[in-house]
Amino acid sequence: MELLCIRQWISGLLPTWLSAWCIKPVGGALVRQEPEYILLALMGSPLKKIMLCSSEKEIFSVEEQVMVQHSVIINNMIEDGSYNHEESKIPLDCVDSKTLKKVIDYCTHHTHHHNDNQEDLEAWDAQFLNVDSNGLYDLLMAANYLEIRNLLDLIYGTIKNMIKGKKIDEIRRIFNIKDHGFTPEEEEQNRKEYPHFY
Amino acid sequence: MSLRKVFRSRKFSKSFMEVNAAVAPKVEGGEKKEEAGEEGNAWSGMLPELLGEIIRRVEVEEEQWPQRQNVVACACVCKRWRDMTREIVGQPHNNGKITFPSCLRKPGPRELPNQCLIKRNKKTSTFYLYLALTPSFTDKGKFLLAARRYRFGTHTEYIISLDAEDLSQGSNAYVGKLSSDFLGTNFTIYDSQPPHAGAKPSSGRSSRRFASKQISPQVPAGNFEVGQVSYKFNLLKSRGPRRMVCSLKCPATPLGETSDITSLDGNKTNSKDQATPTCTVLKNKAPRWHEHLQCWCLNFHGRVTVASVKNFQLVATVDQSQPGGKGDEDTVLLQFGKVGDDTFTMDYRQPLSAFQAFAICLTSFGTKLACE
Repeated sequence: MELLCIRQWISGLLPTWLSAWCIKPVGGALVRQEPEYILLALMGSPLKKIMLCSSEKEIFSVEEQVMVQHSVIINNMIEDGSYNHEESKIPLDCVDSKTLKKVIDYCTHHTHHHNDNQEDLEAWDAQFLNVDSNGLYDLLMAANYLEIRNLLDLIYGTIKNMIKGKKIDEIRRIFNIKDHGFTPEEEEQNRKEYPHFY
Repeated sequence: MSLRKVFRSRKFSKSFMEVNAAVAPKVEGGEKKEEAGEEGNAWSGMLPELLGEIIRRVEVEEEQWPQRQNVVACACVCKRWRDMTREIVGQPHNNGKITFPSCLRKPGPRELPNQCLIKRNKKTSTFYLYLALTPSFTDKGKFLLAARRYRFGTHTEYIISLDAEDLSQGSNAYVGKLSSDFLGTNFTIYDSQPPHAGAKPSSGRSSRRFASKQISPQVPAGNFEVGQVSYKFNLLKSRGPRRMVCSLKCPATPLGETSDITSLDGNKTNSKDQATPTCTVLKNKAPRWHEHLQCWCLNFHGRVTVASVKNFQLVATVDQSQPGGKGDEDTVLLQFGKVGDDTFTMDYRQPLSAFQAFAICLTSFGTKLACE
């Protein structure tokens, strides 16, 4: 087989994000790295994984690429070298195992399926956020803590839709707000002022 | 730097810690699950930045009524949500928008006027002010204020209220009143709330306190003079246009000079206002005589469709919200005119508030003896 065909065949094996990634400066110009070298590099060492440790001390192993793509905090840590792949795990004391697993699911899915069409992704997201308000709260805190922008936007959008068009008593029930903090007089005044909102 | 230090150095919000208060001090808590009941507190007491982000997103989407009621709903869910909602509604980019009843005493928008409709019921001498939700003059709109005329021997009064059914001075919904002299040429506008700190009530009312319908704390009862409107005596009695002059104590407009932007219930003012309340003087724009059509003409830009002596446009001669206090005599700050038998449009903008604009428009109804 000619060298050109082999190169094309190897290029075809690589995911698009990796091919696009492989550009290096040569003599002032940017040229694509030969695909066969990339494949050799990949075969040489498995995709890098990092360890995340939940507040319950459970360890989750996840592809570095996946977390780096989504979490600004983790990306910064990897970049500034404070994470040592052989020894370290990242402690996430504010995120419990259940929530961390979900967050990892989200990031993994969105990395591997970023080429899917918009409708499928949205359907998956809707299913992903089909949780009770406690779970949603935990996800919001985790996404905020890890600075995962697109997950945050998604959660905000969901919360906003949970509020819109609802009566106040219903909003309190949905968000499990038992103590509204108003004095009895204030609450009575509210109800008189906006009877149709309750 | 160790990994643990990297994460520990991140700022924890107090409210997040409060939620996990029952947990061991090192925040190693996976015990969040146990506080199922406290999760409820979590939503009401969450990080202010996050709560602010949620409410901001609701507010941004619901600029117009009736959807804007979702913003009001947020303000009624719990105390923390109310504080955050007021903060967001009070931000400069939201000036002029009508959200809470207290917004009716705040200045209108800076650029484009708020378009309103006034519907008159001749039988009951009642007038209803609506915020127009569509350009049509026949659509309902969002109800803002109602006013009823009461004729006494030597003067006439219009009682202005937040409640379309309850138009009495003793009501919780009482906002203010308009009082006219016998001739119907001089009017005084009274507000049930003081326009600035230290203002004294005009009439000798008893100082009983009642909660006003304002999502705001209790205010003392009484009427505070906030403006005057006078129509010029027309000696020649020709059917020429009226001339009117208004002087108003205006709410401080947030142009950076005065301004307490977070005065969400209209009661806080800065120290400058305590000394000299801002004052605005308006006069009506003189119409031009159209030789060909043989009538007086003003350009109402389609918002007024029926000729009437009641129609007017007001411009400012003294306007403290402008540099130097000089009014821009070209910008129409209040426009009022007839579009149907009992339907009128009212367009107002900063520095006027909806309440003041409505009161000034009411002066245009009723007979003006010796004026026309």
